[in-house]
Amino acid sequence: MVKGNNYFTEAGIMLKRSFNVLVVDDVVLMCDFLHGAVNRLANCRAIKALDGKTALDVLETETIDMLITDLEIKAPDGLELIKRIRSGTLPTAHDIPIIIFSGNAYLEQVQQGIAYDVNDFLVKPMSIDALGKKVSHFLVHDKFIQPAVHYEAMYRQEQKQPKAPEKGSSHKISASIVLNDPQKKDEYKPAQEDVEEAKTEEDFLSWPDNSTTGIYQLDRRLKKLAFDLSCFHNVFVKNCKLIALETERKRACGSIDYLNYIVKNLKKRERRLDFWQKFDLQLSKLNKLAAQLQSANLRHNSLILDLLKKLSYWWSQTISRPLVQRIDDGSEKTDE
Amino acid sequence: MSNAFSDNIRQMQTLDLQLLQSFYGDLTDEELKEVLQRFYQEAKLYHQRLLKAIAMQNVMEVIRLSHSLKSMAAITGAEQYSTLCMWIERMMRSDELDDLMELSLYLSPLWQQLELSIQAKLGPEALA
Repeated sequence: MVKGNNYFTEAGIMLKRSFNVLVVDDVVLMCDFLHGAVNRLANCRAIKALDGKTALDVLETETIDMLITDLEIKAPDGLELIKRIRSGTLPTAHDIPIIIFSGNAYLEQVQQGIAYDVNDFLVKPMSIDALGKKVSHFLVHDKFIQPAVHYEAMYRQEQKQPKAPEKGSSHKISASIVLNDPQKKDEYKPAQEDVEEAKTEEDFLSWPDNSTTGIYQLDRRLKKLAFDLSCFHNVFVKNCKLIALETERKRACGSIDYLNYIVKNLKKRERRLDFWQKFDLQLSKLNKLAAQLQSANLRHNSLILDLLKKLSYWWSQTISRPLVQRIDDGSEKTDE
Repeated sequence: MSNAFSDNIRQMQTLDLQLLQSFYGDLTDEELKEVLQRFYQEAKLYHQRLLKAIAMQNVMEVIRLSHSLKSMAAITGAEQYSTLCMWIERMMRSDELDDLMELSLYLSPLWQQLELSIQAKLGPEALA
């Protein structure tokens, strides 16, 4: 299998040098399985870690060319490892190929994986041969990875968000997304009678730093939607009566409808195709969620919780893409 | 719930060694025995901890353990046990605590069957 300085794996892919692959899984059997799959490949050396801390130690001391990790491992978990690598906070190159090898493929985890540009998301169980082929493939086929600062910004923003408490019962939830900005909070005075009540709660969503859309009406509507979703979340976690939940649902759905209405009108006036293309994509995702929210059974706590999480993810996605950036002279431009 | 689960696992084997071979590639008899031995040693501890977590109604621990057991069992060809763990994990994630008790009744019998199948392959001393 060896030709000069080039090496071939079982999949027939040429490896030009030797590679160190870090495999992380808290189950010894699975870790050994991964170790075996990698070590079978010519010129690949697997390094095992059974928890996140050991993995971090390895990443800090060894030159690692690829990471294969389970998600649910002892802290820091798999996603945290991925985030730290991509954001360049470890000595390991931030753009190494990363494969998630997990027993579950929940949408939220997949979306997080995509946001941090993991190369693949493999679901257990998988044959040793298929896994070997994937490893060989990603060792020689580069994927475009953004500069570390891009992921660092995302990671920082996530760290600023309050953490969700552990799941103990269906009502112990939190899905906060973005940081509070006291200055901006003062600027916006929503026409809601229960502002005081909402202030005493930790907000579900709030308007983040430097995230103005630059279009006043759109800005206002997005803020209003954030506020209404926040109210809905507060009523939900307080386990209020069904009628209160119904009212909040109507309010949140109404906000989404109004956002759509505003967008339709703004599009006629503001002919910025690039911006609308991106925004429409986000809006179509939001409308799907709104349809689900509209028809959801409010007694079904898990479902509502899931929808709130999805809405929070939509929000973080929308604001993490700077559709509009503030420019120094006080005016604003719409561009990514 | 329990009927649906019984129907689901009816066609499955307790321990499918062909499935194990398909995941691991061609193993010699010695290698296969080693994999089974290692699975048994590790999964037994997880199984005991899972029973304890269910008794204590520790939701997070039940999710974590059933999640790990599901993958371990699947890759070893323990289809029925893996499916049971998958059902338990799914149920816990959707807060269906009532169904958990019903399903958990299958845990010990399925584990015992699995133990017997492994024993048949490895010999009684191997599991001591």
